Amino acid sequence: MPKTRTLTVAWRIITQIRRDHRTVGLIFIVPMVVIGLLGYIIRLPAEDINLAIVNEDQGFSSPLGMSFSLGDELVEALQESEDLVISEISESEAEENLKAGEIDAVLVFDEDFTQRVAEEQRIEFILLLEGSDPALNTRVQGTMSREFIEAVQRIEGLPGGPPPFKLEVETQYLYAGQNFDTLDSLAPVFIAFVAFFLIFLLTGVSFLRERAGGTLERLMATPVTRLEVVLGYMIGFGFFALIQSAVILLFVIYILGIHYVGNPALIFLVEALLTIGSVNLGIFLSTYAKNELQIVQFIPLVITPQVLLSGILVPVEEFPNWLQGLAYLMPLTYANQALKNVMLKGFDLYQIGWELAVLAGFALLMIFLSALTLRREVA
Amino acid sequence: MEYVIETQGLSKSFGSLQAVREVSLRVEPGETYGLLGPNGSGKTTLMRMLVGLVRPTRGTGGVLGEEIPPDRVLSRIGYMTQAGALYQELTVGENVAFFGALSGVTSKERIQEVIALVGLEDRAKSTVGTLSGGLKQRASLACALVHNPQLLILDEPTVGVDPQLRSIFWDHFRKLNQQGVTILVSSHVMDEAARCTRLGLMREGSLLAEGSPGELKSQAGTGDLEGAFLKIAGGSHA
Repeated sequence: MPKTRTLTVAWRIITQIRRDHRTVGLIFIVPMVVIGLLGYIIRLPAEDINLAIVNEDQGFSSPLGMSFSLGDELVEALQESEDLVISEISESEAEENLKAGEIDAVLVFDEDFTQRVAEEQRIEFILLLEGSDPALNTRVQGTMSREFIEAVQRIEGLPGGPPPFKLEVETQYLYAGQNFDTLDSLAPVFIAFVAFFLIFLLTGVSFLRERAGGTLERLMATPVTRLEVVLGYMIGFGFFALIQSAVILLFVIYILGIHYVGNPALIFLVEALLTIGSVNLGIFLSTYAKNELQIVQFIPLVITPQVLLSGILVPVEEFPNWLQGLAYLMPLTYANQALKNVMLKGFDLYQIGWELAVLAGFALLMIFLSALTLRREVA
Repeated sequence: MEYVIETQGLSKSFGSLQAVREVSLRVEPGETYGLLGPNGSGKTTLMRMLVGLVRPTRGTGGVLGEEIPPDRVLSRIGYMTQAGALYQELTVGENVAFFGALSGVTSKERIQEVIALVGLEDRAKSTVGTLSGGLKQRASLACALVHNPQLLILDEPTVGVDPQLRSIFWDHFRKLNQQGVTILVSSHVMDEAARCTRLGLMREGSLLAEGSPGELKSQAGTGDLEGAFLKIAGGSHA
């Protein structure tokens, strides 16, 4: 048994959770299964896009007898693409095949395509999609604009001479860039979210049991102080949160192979601050719950807004101003930013100083609130 | 005479409900003082004020020479309620060691000793959740005794306990009493009341009468305690 009362409380929390194998599984195994499955789905290889081209382009003939059809050139260039399966068909067939689902998209070059490009100095083409599957729409549009740019670049070096316009596209990435996939940016926020959510839930439930089972009353009739109880809870649950983060971190880096350039000590610092806030939020809200179900009812109130607004799904910068204001009230937003910056960009302690300060402020506020609710008079 | 517990006009209201009214109580060292009264008569609230779990609305009180809430002498008080109030996932030994450590007792010998005292030596390594109600209650008593308290405040410690175990508990209480431990215990079982050195009858928050079991019987002019209790407490409410 530890020598100080704070550590005694922490020891008790750790022993209790250790005995509860299901909870141990929830803390360590479930996050790995979830992020593993998520990673697998995100990285499923995309299927080739079946692209039909309706090429009616009459080309461009100069008075000197030179002729050039941009449509023909593009068809040829697009055929070199690895992600596209190209077929040339007539306009009437195209619509039928699209409806039947045999092709994913139709690219139309109309009769005066080359003519118009020459006059307007810009390329405009029509892409016909079936349209009922938003995911496919996005994928086709993305692939097409990328492939089209590449095709145009290929044409520029053709022996037939450069086309009658100039098109320059240059994309540069500041960090790892094209090699990054969604999983790389999802992993840091996942670590923060899982820790925040599970620790909130576990503390809420265990404190509720402490109240309902009469042990809190008994605890308060011993010389232990409020602060010692709160600190003990923080250390006990913090212990599991940090091990959990380490396990998830090792899993995403070595098993899922995500890109990672950060300093693990900083990740644990962010986690520790977030966990302190989360433990105390759990203690605070458990006062307002009469049973376990009512703790679960806090999830839509406390957890869901944070998931939606903290930038896990959509980056906060893309929100309208009023929503950004809300997002910056959520502690998870700061944890996400700090972890992303550390893991993906290798930021140091000073560069994430602001986020750490906000998280520390949130933790202090929560300690204050939980201490307020945790009086000696439990009645 | 230095009283172990001394209160003056102690009162507690919860909103419009007066749970405890003007209770002036004196418990002498080495006494076993029994609080008798029906459910809702204010026994529990009075005891919780004495350990500092409830703040009085009016009146003063002292426990072991410390004004309530008696934060500084909590390590010398053993408190036990009718609800087991133990950690179900921990073993008997761990529960006793936990509450012992909070009161400054870490000696393994003492923990084993107190577990043996309540007769749970062979269940020390069982998790509390697997124990029967009676065994849980014994473990709970061990937690209240582990730090050798000078004062035991026991709120209906034998509710739901079979008569045999109840008798074992009271044998413990008598032994502790002989060692100089003062006990304040609440109950509504008459054969328990008979084993107290002094009794206080409570009804609707007030302390109606005090005295030894013999004194109360003669005061009421009845042959048994139950009759005395019913007569003094006003019959229909008891």
